Amino acid sequence: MHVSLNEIATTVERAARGAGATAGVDTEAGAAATWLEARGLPALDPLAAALKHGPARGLVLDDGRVALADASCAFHAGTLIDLAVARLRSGAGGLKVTDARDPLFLVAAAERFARTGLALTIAWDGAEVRFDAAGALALHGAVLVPASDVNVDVRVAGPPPRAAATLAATALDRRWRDAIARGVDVDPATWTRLRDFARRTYVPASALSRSRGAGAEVDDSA
Amino acid sequence: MTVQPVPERLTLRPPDVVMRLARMGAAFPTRLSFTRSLVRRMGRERWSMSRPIWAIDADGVGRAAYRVATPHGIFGLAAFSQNLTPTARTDRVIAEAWDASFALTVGEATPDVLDRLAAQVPLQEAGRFSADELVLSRANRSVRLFEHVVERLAAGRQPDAWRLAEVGYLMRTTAVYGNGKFGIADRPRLHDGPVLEHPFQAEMLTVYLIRHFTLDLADHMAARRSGGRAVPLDRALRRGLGIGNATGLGMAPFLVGHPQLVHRWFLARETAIARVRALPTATPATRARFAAVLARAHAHVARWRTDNPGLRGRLDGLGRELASVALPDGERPWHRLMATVEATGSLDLQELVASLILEPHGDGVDDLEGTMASPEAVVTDPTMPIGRLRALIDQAYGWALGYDFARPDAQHLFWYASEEKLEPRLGERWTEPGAKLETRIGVAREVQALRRALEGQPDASVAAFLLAHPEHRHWVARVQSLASLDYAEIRDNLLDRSCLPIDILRCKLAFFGASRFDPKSDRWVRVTLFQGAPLADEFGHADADDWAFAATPA
Repeated sequence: MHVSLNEIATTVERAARGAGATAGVDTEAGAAATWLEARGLPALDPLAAALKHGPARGLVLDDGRVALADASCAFHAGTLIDLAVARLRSGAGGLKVTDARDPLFLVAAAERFARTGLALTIAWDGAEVRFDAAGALALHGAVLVPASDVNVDVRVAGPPPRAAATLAATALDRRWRDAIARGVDVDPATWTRLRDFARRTYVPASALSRSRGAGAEVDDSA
Repeated sequence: MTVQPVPERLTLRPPDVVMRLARMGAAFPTRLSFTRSLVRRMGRERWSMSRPIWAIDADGVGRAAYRVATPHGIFGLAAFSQNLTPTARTDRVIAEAWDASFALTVGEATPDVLDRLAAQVPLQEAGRFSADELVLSRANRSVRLFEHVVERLAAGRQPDAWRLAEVGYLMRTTAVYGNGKFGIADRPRLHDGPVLEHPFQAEMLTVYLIRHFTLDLADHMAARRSGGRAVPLDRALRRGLGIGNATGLGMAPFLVGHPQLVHRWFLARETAIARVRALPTATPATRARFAAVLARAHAHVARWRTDNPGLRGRLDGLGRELASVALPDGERPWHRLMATVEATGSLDLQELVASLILEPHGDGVDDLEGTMASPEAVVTDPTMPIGRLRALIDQAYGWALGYDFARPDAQHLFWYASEEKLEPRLGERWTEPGAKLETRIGVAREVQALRRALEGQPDASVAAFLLAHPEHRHWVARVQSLASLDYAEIRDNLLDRSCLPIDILRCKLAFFGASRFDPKSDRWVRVTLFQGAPLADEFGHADADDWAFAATPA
């Protein structure tokens, strides 16, 4: 199924809200999913799978760590990257996120800080994503392998890995431009699942609500 | 695109005055409105329009294509027309059939493109589209006027000018969709080139082309009906017809959801007003232009048709007030005129005069149309200390802290999206189900809740607070992102029992360039777009930008 980027953003926002995400967390999930899918990186499939669990509750920072209890980073990426940035800028060191799913969402949330010159590395089992000081992104290792129950390290970028990047900024930018020009293809079953959760945020129509909607009920041609 | 701030030291009207619902509900279009800036651009860049395909029968059923050539590329309008039965015709979003449906295309709407779109465009929301379509729209005929025009033209006579002026359009659009809806192109695609990058320019171009379609359709049906006696619609009458639009509640969540954009729109308009107020004198030419447009506005108000008793009374009062408006002699006449109407006039008069004083000053204000886009979103500043956030709320959101939400009327309303075509609707909290799913539009209530939650918190970073309180995430980002943007927030409680959604609708529609607001309830309104605008072959004419408050026949 072919969809626009705006459809991804709005559908994911609604679906995340339907799964229990709060105002702001839902918008960020939509924006992050759009950012990733527009670059050909997996977001909708893992998000759709995570909807039934929803966001984790009662997160706490303990000795530089936040335990996610296998919740998806889709629901927490903005919050966690905020925390990492606040710690890094105050000199407290980076952030460790333990027992996490879908760490690529952290990359999407980190991008706006990377563009302001904060060179970050986000690393987990065999995968490393690195922003350089100019905000350019490179993905190394097993970044596209579905990740669950992983420990993620968010820190200031060190020297780049020796191995060539799995995906470099130029390829990701090309994909982004292509997505703007053409939209993206999504799996119909995934899309249906997202829409099912989005539907939880809509109020069923009633005769009363219909009568209070905009526009006239009958032919009102002047 | 990069939007530059306006580096000027001018005295702008303060947000506590400008961003109130009552004043927004008195808004008038200005020369910075999107219809005006589009028409100026079409003239400046010598856009040309043609109609390469016209395959419509005597009953108005068939398809057509329009072609727009700009210096930066070709666009097309694909039009599909049918003859709807009266019982199927409704302006509601929940309608499923329309007299005509349209898509604005990237590149020409060739026969192949029409073949492809014929299976989708008439379905509107139920269709699927591609990134080669920029805008999707539909329209219904104003049946009695449309029939009157066709009947008269078929008989070799012009239609009754008064009836045309009274309605103002042959068709009205009931939705104009852009930005990725149903698979059409995302807005960033428009930003890729220098053609339709300004806010709603693609949508306004679509509406402009639909206007031509409706005029051509009337001529065509008259010619096919007459057996050779028909005459085409007189040029002056064609120019006096715009496009109607029926608009409902969706615009209110849009304005709350795009605060940086709203700030840009108001900042441009208020900067324009302040620039004119700062002028030391008025030249004979600007005085003459002002007098002419003032007279036109007076006539416009006198002939403004509405059945809404509240607006009717206000328009009658406005007409009387306008009779005594005159530009004073001496220094700073524009400021002194505004100061006089601010001291003694109604909100309607103040907003109308604010629009009128811009008319003679295109050279001094039209550059602001390039500052009215904003790609920004609200984002957190995670390192900000809690104490600073508290101070920011107290400084920038003081207007929101005074409402007493323990009073049931203060949150009587809730806004939500209906499952039915996702139509935005308004419910009454204490009597209707669904309030748990309300749209986040109660800015004042939520900022108050945030302010309370911050009380007594240690002065740690915002990031630490949000880890424990994700329920405030949007509102923290909103306050942090908007605190320095004077015109980003509507400074009223949109949940209050007294809130009139039509005030918000009128304000947004005025920025579009809509005139003749005609509220049909508290929740939806009819307006006219492009009435008096030059026709496609008139862009080069000297008066091509002089159509504010278009004169209508007496």
